[in-house]
Amino acid sequence: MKKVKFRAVFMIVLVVLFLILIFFGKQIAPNDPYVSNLQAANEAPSAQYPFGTDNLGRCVLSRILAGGAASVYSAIFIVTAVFFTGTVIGLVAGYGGGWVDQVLMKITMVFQAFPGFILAVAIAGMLGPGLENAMISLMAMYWTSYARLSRSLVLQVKNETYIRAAIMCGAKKRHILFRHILPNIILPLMTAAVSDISNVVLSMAGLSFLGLGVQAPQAEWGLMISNGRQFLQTAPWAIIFPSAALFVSVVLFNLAGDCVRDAVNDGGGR
Amino acid sequence: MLKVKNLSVAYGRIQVVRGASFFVEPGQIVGIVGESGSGKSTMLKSLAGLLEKHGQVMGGEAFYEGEDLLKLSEKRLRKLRGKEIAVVFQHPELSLDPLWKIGKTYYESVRIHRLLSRKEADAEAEKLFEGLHLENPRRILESYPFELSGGMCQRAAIAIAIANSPRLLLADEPTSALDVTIQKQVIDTMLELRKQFGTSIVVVSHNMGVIAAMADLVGVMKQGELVEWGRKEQVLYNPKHPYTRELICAIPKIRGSGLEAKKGMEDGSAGKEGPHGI
Repeated sequence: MKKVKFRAVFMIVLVVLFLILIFFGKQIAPNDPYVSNLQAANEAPSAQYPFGTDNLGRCVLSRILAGGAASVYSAIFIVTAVFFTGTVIGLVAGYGGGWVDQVLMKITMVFQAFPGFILAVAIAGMLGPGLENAMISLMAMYWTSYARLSRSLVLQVKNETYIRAAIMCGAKKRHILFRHILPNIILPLMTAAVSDISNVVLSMAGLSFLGLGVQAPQAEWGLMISNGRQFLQTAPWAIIFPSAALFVSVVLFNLAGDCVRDAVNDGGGR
Repeated sequence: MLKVKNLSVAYGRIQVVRGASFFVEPGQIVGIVGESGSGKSTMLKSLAGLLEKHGQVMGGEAFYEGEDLLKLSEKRLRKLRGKEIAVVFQHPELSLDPLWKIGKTYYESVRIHRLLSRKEADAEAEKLFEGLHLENPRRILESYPFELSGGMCQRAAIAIAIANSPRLLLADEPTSALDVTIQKQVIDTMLELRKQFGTSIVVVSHNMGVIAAMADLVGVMKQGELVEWGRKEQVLYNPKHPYTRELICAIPKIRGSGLEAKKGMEDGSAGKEGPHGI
């Protein structure tokens, strides 16, 4: 128990530090991430450019720091939005039952019929490139799992005796839904949300890599990887370091998700 | 007060309750007894409007103060629930929200029907718990359900059920999940209720002993039919239906040998258990 708690606290501290680092990325950056200096193009890492420069002579480290916000914060925003909408839809479907449930679940199934990333690419392609559109397409990709998860959790809880007891006290549906059912199913949903952040970070970078997300000259990790690809042999640092940043953030959020899950499973036994 | 006439309930195509009729007068305790699957719980649930999705009332009426409970709108039912009719369930730990302290559960169920602050509710709950002889009400109110014993949970659940002083309490196997000694406490609590508030109680149980200890009127159910109905003395000591006789014969009895065993413990084995052995 103590060990789990310690690990959870440790991971939370790491995540918070990481978020702060990225939040102030632009301020911390040693060079201006958007100033190109063609004379210093594709330079190897040096004292002035710790991670080297890309094909336009921009500082890779500065661009990684500045681009983190687009990757990580948009992912967190997407997960939050999806968590709320998906959960509410699942709650309504699960508790309402009948045709409401049928309709909502059929809609969910339509979204789930496509492989997730293909759907996101299709929607982003239709809406046109850009950060906002990429976010919309990723939300369309991710909300279904929350709707389904929360629906199944509601179905588990809604026939519990304490729900019947609340009904027998004369409680209204809304009261039962938000004060009895939701608090009893929120933990597994939150665990799913934390573990999903890393997936969304990857998908976001993936969309940008394909040119459907953040547009040049804005700094973003997926976009940087995509740009650096052409110079892999002459300037590998332009692709290695953004990839490493992506790797670190994905691993970090994944471990944090595991820790939250362990903490919940450990303390969640009623 | 409550008058049930020809009540029939079915799950899908299987009839579970067939034409049951009985009545409850103010301040009376009615016991319904029968083996598992005889339809007694289903009958109670149908009165409270708590039937599962596939359960359906097929016919009959259940008049409570002139209103047919089986035909009420959801809205009207909600008004009655808690304020006029309350239910106690079989599994006490499960009938309280695991995330809420008893005090909060009490407050929330009171607030549905009356306007009062948390402090007032707490004071009221304390007084009610004390009146029902629950020890240390303060501590109970501050506890989560899993911190209390089963018997304590059930008595707290009963107290919460009657928080809005309903006039009819429907108890579905209220003691079946509890130890025998604890059963007695729960029965005493319900008898106390009747004494203090004049609450009418319909208690359903497969335990003849529980029914004998509480009820004024007894109904015996067999395969969905109420085969015997009358005053307790008459049903228990002078049963008409063969099934009732069988049920009464099935009560486990401890005769002479039990007394002897007790004597033996008093003489000899008490020493082994220490001064407070028995």
